[in-house]
Amino acid sequence: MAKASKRYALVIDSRKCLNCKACVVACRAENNVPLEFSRNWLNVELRGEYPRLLAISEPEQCHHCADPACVRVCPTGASFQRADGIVAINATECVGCRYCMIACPYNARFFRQDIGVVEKCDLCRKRVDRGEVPACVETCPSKVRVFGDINNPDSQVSQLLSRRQYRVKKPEAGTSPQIYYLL
Amino acid sequence: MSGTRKNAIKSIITALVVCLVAIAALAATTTKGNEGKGKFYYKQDCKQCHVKGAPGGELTPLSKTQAQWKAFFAKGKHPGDNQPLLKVKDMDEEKLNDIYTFLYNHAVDSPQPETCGK
Amino acid sequence: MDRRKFLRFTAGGTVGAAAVSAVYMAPFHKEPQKGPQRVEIPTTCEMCVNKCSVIAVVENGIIHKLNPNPANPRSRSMVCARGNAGLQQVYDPARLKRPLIRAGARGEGKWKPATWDEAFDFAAQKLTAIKEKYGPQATIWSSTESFQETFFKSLGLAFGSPNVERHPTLCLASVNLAYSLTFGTVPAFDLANAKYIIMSGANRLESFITPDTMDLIESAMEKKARLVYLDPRFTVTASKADEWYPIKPGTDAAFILAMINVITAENRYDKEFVSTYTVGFEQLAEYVKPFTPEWAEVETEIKAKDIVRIAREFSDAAPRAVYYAGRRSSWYRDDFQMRRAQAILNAIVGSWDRQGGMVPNQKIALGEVSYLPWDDPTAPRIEDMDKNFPLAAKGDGAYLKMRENVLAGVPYPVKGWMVHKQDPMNALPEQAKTLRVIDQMDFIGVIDVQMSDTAWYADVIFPESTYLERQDPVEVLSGMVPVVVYRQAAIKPLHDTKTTLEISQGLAKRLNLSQYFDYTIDQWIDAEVKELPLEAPLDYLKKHGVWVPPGGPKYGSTLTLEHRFITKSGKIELYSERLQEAGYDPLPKYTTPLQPPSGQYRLILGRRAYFTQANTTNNPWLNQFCPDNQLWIHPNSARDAGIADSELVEVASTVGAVKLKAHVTQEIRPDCVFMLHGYGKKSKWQRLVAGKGGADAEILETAWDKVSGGGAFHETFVKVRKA
Repeated sequence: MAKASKRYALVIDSRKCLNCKACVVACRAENNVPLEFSRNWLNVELRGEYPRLLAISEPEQCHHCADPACVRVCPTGASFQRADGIVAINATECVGCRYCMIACPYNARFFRQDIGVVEKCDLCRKRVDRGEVPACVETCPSKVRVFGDINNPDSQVSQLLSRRQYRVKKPEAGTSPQIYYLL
Repeated sequence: MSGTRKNAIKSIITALVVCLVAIAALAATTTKGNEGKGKFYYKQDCKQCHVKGAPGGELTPLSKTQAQWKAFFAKGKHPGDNQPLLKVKDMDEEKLNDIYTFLYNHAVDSPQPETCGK
Repeated sequence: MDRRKFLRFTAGGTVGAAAVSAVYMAPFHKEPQKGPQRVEIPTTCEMCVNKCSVIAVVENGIIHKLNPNPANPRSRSMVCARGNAGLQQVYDPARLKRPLIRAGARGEGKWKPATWDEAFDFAAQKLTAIKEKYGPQATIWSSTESFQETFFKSLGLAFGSPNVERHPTLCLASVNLAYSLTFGTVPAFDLANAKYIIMSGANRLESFITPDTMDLIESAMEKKARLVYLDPRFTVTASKADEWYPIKPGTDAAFILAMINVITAENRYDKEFVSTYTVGFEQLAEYVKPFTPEWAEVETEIKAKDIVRIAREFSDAAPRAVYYAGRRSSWYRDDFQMRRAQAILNAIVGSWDRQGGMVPNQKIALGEVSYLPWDDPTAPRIEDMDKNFPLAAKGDGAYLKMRENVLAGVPYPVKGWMVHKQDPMNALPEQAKTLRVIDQMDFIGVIDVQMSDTAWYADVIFPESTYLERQDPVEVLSGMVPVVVYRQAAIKPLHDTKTTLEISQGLAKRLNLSQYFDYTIDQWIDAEVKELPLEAPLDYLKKHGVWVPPGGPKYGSTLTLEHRFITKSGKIELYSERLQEAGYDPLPKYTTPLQPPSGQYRLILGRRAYFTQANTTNNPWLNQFCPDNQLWIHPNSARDAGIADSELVEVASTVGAVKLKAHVTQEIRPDCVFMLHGYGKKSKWQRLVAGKGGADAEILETAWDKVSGGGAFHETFVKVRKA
């Protein structure tokens, strides 16, 4: 595959996540997401035995995979990937067949019954095109998410990935997800 | 009337006058004035001369302790020019008392617990 | 990254996005306001007390999003969940849209819409009748903080009532008083630079995402500082702390006194600081001798060896060590003593006016509209602050003592109640008493943006414009770096609402008090900004939303021989003569708290990151994270009480009972139960939480901190059983 000039990715440090829901509400406002859905979410878990307890809070959204299965299976081309790596949906071309939802290993997509199209996180591409960062990235008190171009070695995301250990979710699905969770 | 009785009455009258004067002096230094009005009068009448660079030098309630304010108002004059405070602009007893109350209640050693907002 | 320019016009979105936007936003407004395609307006948030700076993105006259304003060094580039949900306050279909006058019985929910003239006339007539029959002191004017609170307060005082009740008496009155008596001021905490931080129940990483949160994230979360956290509950802060101790409730003062014991006994205090800047160390050192770590272990259930180690680590890290004061309501009747102990601990290790310690706030002087104010009220305050709380902030009152006196009719009757922005039905414990107060009133008037439970029982409701529709006075956030924040309307008011100034003026006109409100909001603001060292301050503030004076934090300005602390002695008072003269303990007194009898639990309170007190639970964007409050109960206690997870339980105290579902969890001590605030509402206009879950206000017992008079909220024991 030809290397894109830019590849946007998210680097997430879950250890700093406060489960405060700011990112969920910011996304809802920015992208007019109806109440019953969420483009991003928090995986929350409590472990241990009182009083030795551990709380985990892990943000997640579409992983904007480098090899997106959702794009491959889309019959109309409504699901597409930009040159900079952002995977998006062209709502006017989506017929609501939902094959993409079956293909996605991360359950990142949801179906809008009211308008008959599938939706998901698009890294706030309008903001990105204005030179801003996605709403979830910007609003966070602890700056859990870092957004940037991993093809640029000087970007903060690249710096983090070169200095820290990280993992991705479900690498076995083979889609090459672009959310990197710092360990 | 006998001489001693006259003298006695004179002494009593003198004593009474002294008391009244003392009471008047005390009246100028109660802390039951209106400190809200006192702040307004202070800004209107005193502040011009009592900011940095001005003749009286910067003066705020925090410039003195309560005891110092009390003593100052008991004297009732500006030390610099010996002018009675009551002669400043359109001052009167009530205004002066309000100003005193404001300064006393916010002196540098006064109990003025902080609170949130105004 | 290059930041956006403000008040910038940009092309709008695609047709598809606009259509989707219209579909989603349609239920929330009658018709779109005309406006430019996209405009960014800097303003200040009002979703909680922290006043973060936000930028309202307004598209075609509709507020689309609230973005952070990184120009504010306090809120930095952050908008929390509540801040983001702020635009729901504007577009809430059930918000107050016009003045209402009660048509049925109080609490029946029958209203007739009124014009502003009708509402003002009605209220003024009622207030005047009360004044004529009982005197102006027969009215209470209670408020919570806001940029326009000052106008409401002025109206009450000008009316002649001494009974202005302000929110600190339900909030951090004991903190304010303890630190004021010790240092002459309440300082900021330099959490960003501290190396060792101890927090008692101050759930800073969850309750109210605040500038202090941002500082704590910088230090404790980035592992530059050690965080020790004491709380009967495993909160988010507990989960991020280096050490969490589920301390026995009410024993924090024992922990602190034991720390002072170790630090004085082992000569770990800052000798130079203590001798130069404080008084009373000898008395303190003698006084703390019995408070050994072994003694404290029994009280707190924290091991003596840990207390010793923490005391040593704390003093080693000093002056970059702080015991954080906390920002919330009192917990216990002796809460003040614990806050005093904290202040003293911080003082003896010299964590004052130094980087990483407590730092006195810098202020920025604002100008004022000058006018001759009203005569002092002739009657004394109803709760007799001089007699009952002689050292407390008199202007704030003592709310719960006030309520007791109102109910008893002593020393005089009270017949009228004006409320600004506050919801006493939920803010006060023992709701049954609040309802009795309501019954006693000849008149209740409420200013609010939504139909709160208190508004639900009012006689007239004055709908206020939301913060996004309002021009407010300029405010200074004092702190280590003080800032001036600006609030301007993002859109024109959607409905027939007014500002608190306009409401005060409308009432003042009819009460012959107009001379105290003889200015417009613009004139008020002009007077405020005149003193700022800026060329054209208003233009600057309109454009940037915030002004930060150059210079950054200052350390050490009080650490000079000439400096006089605003205390009786002029020094930091470890031993307080003022307390002694007023008949209180000059050094912190510790009383072993009562424990709940067998089969009962202590009810403790706290917050979620996405709620502010009781007034945001009906916001759909926030409510969805917790549609129903639950009673947290430890698995052992649940088993003892025969309760399963998610089962409906009845929680009963001596003053009331509520039903809510149980949440069986290990995140709480077995002797405590916990519930969130702001549910079980009476107001049917708050559809998401009306009758849903339980209202803590119904079961909390009335208690207040003895010295400050501030409401104490952890003194209630409850029984829990299957409903």
